[in-house]
Amino acid sequence: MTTALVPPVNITPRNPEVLDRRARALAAGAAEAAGTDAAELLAVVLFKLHGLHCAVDMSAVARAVSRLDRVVSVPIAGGGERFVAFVEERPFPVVDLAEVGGRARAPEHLAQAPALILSFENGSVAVAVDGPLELAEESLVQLAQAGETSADPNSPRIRGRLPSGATHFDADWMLSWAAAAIT
Amino acid sequence: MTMDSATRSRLVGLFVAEAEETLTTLTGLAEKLRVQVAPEDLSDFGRSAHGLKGAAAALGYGALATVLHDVEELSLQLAEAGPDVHRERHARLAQALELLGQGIAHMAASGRDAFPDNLLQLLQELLPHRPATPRSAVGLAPQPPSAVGTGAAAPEARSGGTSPRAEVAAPAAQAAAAPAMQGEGVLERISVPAEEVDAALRLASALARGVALFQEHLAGGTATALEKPRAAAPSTATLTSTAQALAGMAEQLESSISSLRLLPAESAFSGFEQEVEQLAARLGKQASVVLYGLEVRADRRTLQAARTMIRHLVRNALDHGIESPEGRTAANKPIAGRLVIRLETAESSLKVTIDDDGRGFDLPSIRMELSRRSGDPARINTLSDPEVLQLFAFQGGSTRESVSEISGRGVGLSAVAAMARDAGGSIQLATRPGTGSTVIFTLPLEVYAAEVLTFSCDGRLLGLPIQTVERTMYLRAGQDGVQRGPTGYTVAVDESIIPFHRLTETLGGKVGEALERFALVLRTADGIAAFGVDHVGEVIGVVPLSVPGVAFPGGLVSGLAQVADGTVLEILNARQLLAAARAARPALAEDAESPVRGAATSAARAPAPARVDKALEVMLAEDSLATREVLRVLLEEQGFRVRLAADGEEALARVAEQLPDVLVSDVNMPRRDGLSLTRQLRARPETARLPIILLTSQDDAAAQAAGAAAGADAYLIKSRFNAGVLQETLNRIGVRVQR
Repeated sequence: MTTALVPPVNITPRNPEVLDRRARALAAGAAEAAGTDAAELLAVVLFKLHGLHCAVDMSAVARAVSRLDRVVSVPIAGGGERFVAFVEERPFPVVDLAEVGGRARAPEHLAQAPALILSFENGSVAVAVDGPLELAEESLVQLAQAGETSADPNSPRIRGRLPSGATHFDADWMLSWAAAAIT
Repeated sequence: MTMDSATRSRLVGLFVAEAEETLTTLTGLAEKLRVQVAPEDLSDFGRSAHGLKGAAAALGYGALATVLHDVEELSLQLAEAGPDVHRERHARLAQALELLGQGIAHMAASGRDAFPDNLLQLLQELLPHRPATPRSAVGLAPQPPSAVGTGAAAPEARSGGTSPRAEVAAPAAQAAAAPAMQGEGVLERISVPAEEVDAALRLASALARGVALFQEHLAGGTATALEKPRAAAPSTATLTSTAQALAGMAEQLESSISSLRLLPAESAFSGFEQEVEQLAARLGKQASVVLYGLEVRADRRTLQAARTMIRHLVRNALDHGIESPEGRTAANKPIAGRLVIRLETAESSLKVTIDDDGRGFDLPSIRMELSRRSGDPARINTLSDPEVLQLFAFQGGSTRESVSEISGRGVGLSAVAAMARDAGGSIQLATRPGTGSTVIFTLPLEVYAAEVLTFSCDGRLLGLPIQTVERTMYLRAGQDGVQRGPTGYTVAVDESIIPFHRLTETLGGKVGEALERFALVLRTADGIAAFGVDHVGEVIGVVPLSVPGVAFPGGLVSGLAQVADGTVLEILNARQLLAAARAARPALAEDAESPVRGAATSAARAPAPARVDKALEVMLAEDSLATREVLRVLLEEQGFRVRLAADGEEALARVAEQLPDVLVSDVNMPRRDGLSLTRQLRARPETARLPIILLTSQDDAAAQAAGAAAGADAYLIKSRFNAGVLQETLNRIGVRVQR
């Protein structure tokens, strides 16, 4: 039984005016108003990678963990090792998004890192990122430039940029990258 | 409207569970219909079959629904038939139910969202399709729930093509395409007694209250909503007592929930003895079955798969193995055949052993059949009997031309082999001509409780299933019990010299200067070895959790668990660990910095390779003529070919002439003793890998250490030496002897 408790994710509304407007519209029963705003807004999880602000659609994230706490390396038959962390009594394989454009971190460093739990058909994976994590609703202000996308599956696919300047990752790419990283 | 994959998966799980129950009912009713076609039984049969057909159609299993329709039709035809026709139709009905059971069991075991194509094909051959009668078409047409029918279409329905069989379930099959289910498991449904859930709930409530109370204690006193006066701050003793109570409740809760998930094997085998007796009677035979290990607990899905596999194997044994009463009398056997079934959990697998006292497998026929199939009789002839049986087990099938009511065309063995293989398990056959046969299969457990010995190594907490740990050893200061020789590190355990590995190294880590203080001696079917570890902990019960591709039954780490303080426990698979150790055994060189003492030599070698030989050649070096002759006779009686040498020098020369499979040598011999002989052989590349076993009357640690340092693989005491000990030792050092 785990006694160490994982601290909760810090939820910070990035655009309180928009949220307030939506809440009032919904309270007034204006479904179309909510729909109009919803079309413009993206619910995203904000994080950092190599010091840069990044984001991914919240719909792709099954759970956000503010700190992995304990990461163990598990040896694999035939050589090599994989990282695993327990989140609420369940073990998840861990992959480090810092590998994209950089080097993967050691388990002791990963233990301090926040992570996004992504689920796909064959299981789930904890994607370690840099914190702090924030949840926000923002709109996409700038679509990705041609040079920002690549056919290389290891290169991140980017959907565009948020008003804050954060790079908005393509959730499907992140999912397929994480799935490939653990298989 | 499409159905999301999780919903689809849940519904398929429900279908599988329902199908298993329905097929059990149908099998019972079919047995009644064999004896007498009572209208109420016929009606019950039709209703059950029809219900299952509807469920299959609703999930988009169009071809399966058609087959179930045909089963229903065939049952109705039982009433119209004379005795001979009735017998033939009933036999087909029973076989169809058997095949359906195999298919559903396969779905349950594999978690696949499709009825197996090969079984479907067999069913279609068995049940020529007849269009629905007006009665069933109008009055009992399947009415799938719209929510289910609109979203469900299975892979099996997609592959139905233009076959007329697809027509019955067409409305459901056409409704919508199923979401991709490739590789996705079917959600499992378990049925547990409500009172056990209630008990777990009560424990959880008590635990929650206890935690709340404890928090109040920690806050400095008890203040309740009933305005009781605030009590004085609790003493340390009170807090300790409360904490102990909480820990006790938590353990009880964990145990209670484990028991809900892990069912006793008994639950899957009720009425099995009677079923076997009835089956035997239908074949004009007598047989009884004894089941051991019914207290073994396993997850429901694995138990169900095991039950289906056992049923197939028992039917095969009754049909093909157990002789008729006349045959048994002629063979001086009791009239009633005897089947013994043993269930046990071995690490993370359920192991099932089925023994019968029948005539054994018909090896000549099996060879002929395999030769026919392969078109290469010469190759089949080179295979040993065990290899032939293993090949037959994996290819499956039968040597019988005729179809039997009980075991059909012999597809049972094939199905069992496929189920074991698909689930990641194994199957082994053995035969004792004229006296019986043994089939052993394993299935990995989805969920299992394990007793593990915990230990630490390089700062990580590890565990091994307790049954694989033969002993723990305290290593003296500086590991002077560990020797370093040409075969790698070894340690003497009783009269044997066994490989020693530093666990950290085996697991891919770098060994530090600090020496391990303990060793764990592990024994599996594949061998024995000692592993150096830092500390040995205690034996604890855990329910290991899997991480696909990382920690899973069959992997080097078979599961993960968390201990009380949250530390992650990695549970190692002993067999994989031994294999990894053999693969990773470092080449030894003169290394002044090596922490392990002993005579260094540059003749590094890997462990002796595993091999199979019908007549293993032993070079026996022994100066005493009497002892030499005794040992020669003893070895030859057991099927070894023996070459002799009267001392170490002669042995060296004779080994150079022709390399034996193994050298067994006395230690004290004139001209050249066994230690010198060993060192010489290790120094030569062509004999560096030769398995060497030293024999001596000495039983002391120094002699063992000297043998290990010289590079011997094992060290046996003459007074305890016999062919069995030699065979066991050869197996242990990687030389497989099969005669």
